[in-house]
This record gives sequence, structure tokens and C-alpha cells, in this order.
Amino acid sequence: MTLQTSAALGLGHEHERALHPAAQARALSGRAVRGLFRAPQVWIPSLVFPLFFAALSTAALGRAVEVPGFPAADSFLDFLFPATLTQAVLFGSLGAASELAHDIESGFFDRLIASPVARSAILVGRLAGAAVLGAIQAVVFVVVFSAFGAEVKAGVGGMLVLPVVAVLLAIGLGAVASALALRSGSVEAVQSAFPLIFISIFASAAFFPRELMRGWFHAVATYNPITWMIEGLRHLVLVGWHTRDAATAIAVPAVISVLGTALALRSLRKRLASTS
Amino acid sequence: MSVAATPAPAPARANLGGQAQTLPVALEIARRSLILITRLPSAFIPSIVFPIFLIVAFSGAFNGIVELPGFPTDRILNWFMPLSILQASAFAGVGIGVGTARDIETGFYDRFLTSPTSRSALLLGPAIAAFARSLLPFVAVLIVGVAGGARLTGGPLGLVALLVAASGTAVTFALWCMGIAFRTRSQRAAPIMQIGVFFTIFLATAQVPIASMTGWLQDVARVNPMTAVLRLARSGFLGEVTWEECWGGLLAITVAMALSAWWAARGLRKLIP
Repeated sequence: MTLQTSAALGLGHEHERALHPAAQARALSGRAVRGLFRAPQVWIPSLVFPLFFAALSTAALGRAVEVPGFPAADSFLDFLFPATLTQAVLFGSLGAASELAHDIESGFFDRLIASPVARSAILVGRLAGAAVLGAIQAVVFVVVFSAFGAEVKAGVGGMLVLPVVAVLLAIGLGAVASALALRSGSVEAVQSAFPLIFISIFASAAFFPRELMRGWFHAVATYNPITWMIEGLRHLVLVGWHTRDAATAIAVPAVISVLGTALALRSLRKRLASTS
Repeated sequence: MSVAATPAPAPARANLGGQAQTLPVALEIARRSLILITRLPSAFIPSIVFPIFLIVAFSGAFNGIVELPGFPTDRILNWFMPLSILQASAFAGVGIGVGTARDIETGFYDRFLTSPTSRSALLLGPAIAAFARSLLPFVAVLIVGVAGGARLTGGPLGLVALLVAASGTAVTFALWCMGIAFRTRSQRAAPIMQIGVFFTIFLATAQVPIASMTGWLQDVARVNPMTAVLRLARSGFLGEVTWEECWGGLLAITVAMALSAWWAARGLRKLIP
């Protein structure tokens, strides 16, 4: 590892030789997390906007819970809890991937690959940053939603599932966006992916129940895996603990993170091949 | 030719200083702004695509809100299509503001300021461009909406009301965003302009009528002038177009345009060394 790169990772000279790949990944993860907190423009919007949207939608659509066919819910805020978390993770993951693209644009990525650092550690570091932000978002949202009267009917078990889902989804979406960052090497290109991921969330049952959708939109939402995840989480929030719902809610982001990470590793190999 | 290198419109009969030169120069500035649509499509295409996405997503996801007691239509597109058009118009205005900031950043705007161009033409030209730029998404969203099932219940007058609301929104936001651009002199102010649009529209009757809202939003939407503009825009799609439905929107647009023009003019004065 070069001296400058070691300094950027917060390592002393004694660490420059023979760092185990796990230690390298840990150092890069630490850098990603520290970088995240030093960039409020990444994490503040990912908390503020979803919360504002939740407040707005609850005030605008609060009476929708009285519409025949709407799932039994104490309030629209309860109903919206899983969607708000998903939306926040989307914002945060794109922010983390943008930081990777920024590393490429600024030349830091080239310095990393010029050093004897394990290639996978570069990716692991960035995804760790997204995962930490996802966990923080889940905890903040549980606290804020509870303060405004929302209740997770599944109790402590349900509350534990929320951060697990947030972390897995952050890794999954972060990996997909990182693949784009590695392919394009451009912050702007990563940001341009926002509408695509936003559409995938909107074309689900995230913001309104599937029971009240009609026609082709209902069909799209039914086959959208985001719907399966959201409905699993929503059942935990609105009804109570059900193992199958918890398993579905966790399985969907787990699969997205496995596929996303494979895609990102492939993109990393391609970038390394093109720069060597 | 690069954006920055686009020639400044030659002021017709420069230095005469009379009103006669304002309109021709303004039209040239507007023409330049419209030419940029073809030269920088990446900056314009989202302003058409996003409203179409919005109308599809909102009408698909929130179709069930027509079941709310007292909801004024049973066609969800009649409710959301005017909203999408107004949002597209607002973003046409934002595009003008960002373009102005880009011209200031690249130094192109200095050429306007050093030329014997009427200052009012520097505001009128972009305002005309905003109106023209809002027409494309207006037509695109209208086609998608009508194809999806939106129906004009108020006859041709309803279409006129929608056009007035849309063009007024585009011009107001263009002037407002230019005022921001004159003060910040940076494209990095674009999020501030976009957030302004988002808050103004969604803190009004964007999603549901006031009667269907609960809590704080009801109070905010009631005093938000955009509620009156939305009522004007929707008047031809929720029944007959009546003076009662329209006067509030017309007044809101007139006052908002006047205030935005004042805000932009003050900003322009600050820009002049």
C-alpha cells in the first residue's frame, strides 16, 4: 500500500506491510464510514426526504385507510413505515455508490489498485459504508415513527427484522449502483440510475395497497419482488409476528444483495482488466 | 458549437434604448434558449419523461383514492394529469433557471451585460422561452393522459384553463429560479430550485382535495396559492369551467408572476457590477 493511500485509510507505517485482506477490507470500510459522516450531503437527504414524504403522505392520504379493501391499519403512518425505510435505503445506497464513482473520478481508485490491496476489499469497503448507513436509517426511523405513534405489532422480533432488511437492501442496491459506478466511473451516471430504482419502488405496493390497484399496474406490482419484501415487512408492522413474512422480507433483499454483489464484482474485474 | 460559444443575440438597433428593441431582443434570447434543447437534450429530456412517469405511477399506485368520500372524479387521470402538466411546466421554468446559472458560470452572461441590451429583455426572453418549453411536456402528457382515459368534461375552455395555469406556472418558476441563479451564480443551486418546486406543489392539493386531507397539511394547502392554480388547471376535468373555479388561480398566477419578476429584476441588478 502506498504511503499516501495508507494515510487516507488512517493507517500508520507499521501497517503498510502484510495486511491481511480482512484487515484491508476493515480499513477500507472504516474509510467509507468516516467519509459518509463527513459528507452530510449524502446522509442528511436520505433521512430527511423520506421522513418528509412520510409526513406529507400521511397527512394527504390518512383517510385512505377508511377505503374498503385497504388493509386493516391503525394509521397510514404505520402502513407507510416499510416504504419509507426502503426509500431511505435507496437514497443512501446511491450516495455510497456515488462516493465510489467519486474515488474513480478523483484518481483514488487508481492509487488503490496500484497498491497491493485485495481487489475485493475495495468493493467490500464501499458496501460496508452503505450497510452501516442502512442500519442507522432503520434505527432512526423506528425511533421517529414510534415517537409519532407508529407501532410494530410484531414487537422486538419485528423491530430486529427492520435493520436486517435495511442492511441487506443497502448492500444489494449499493452493489447494483456500484456496478454502474465501476462501469461508468462517473458520479453523474450513478445519479442517473436514481429514476430507474425509484420506478421499481413506485411500481410496487410500497405506497398504496395492491388490493386497490387496477389493471396492468396491479400485475406489475404483484410480480415486483419489492412488493413481496414490503408486504412481508408491512404484515410485521400492522398485524404481528409471522415467520413466513419475516423470512420473505429478509429473503428478497438477500437475493438482491447476492446478485448485486456478483454484478459489482464482475464490473470490478472488467475495470481492472481495462486499466491494467 | 458548445453551449457557451452560442453567439449572443445581436441587439436589434443597439443603443437606441427605447422599448422598440426589447421585444426583438427578448425573442432572440428565447430562440437561443430553445436551440439549446437540441444542443443539450440531456438537460431537457427529463422534463418530458419525468411527468409522464409521474402520471403513470401516481394514477397506477393511487387509483384507489377515487373511492374516498367526496372525491371529485371517478377517473384518476382526470385528477393527476393536470398535476403532472403543472409539474412539467414548473420544471421547464427550473430548466431556464439552471440555464441562466450555466451562462453566468461560463461567463456568457457577461456578454449580455456588456452589450447595449435592454435589461427587461433579459427577463422577458427567458420568460418567453419558459412558456415555449412548457408546451412540449404539455402536449406529451396530454396525449398520454387522454390515451390512458382522461376526459375533458369542461369542453375547450377547460383546455384553455389548463394552458393558462401551465404557462403561468412555467413563467413564474422561470423568473423565480433566475432570481436564485442571479444571486448564487452557480448551477449548484439547482437542487434549491427543484426543492422549491417540490414543496410548492406537494404542499397543495397535489394528491387529494383539501376535504380529504388530515391535520397540518389541510391548513398549509388552504393558504398555498398553488392550490388555487391546481383548481384552475383541473377545472375542465372535474366538471364545468366556472368563474368561481378559475378566479383564484388567475389571481394567484398574476400575483406570483409579478412577485417573481420583481425578485428576478432585483437579482439582475445585483449581478450588474
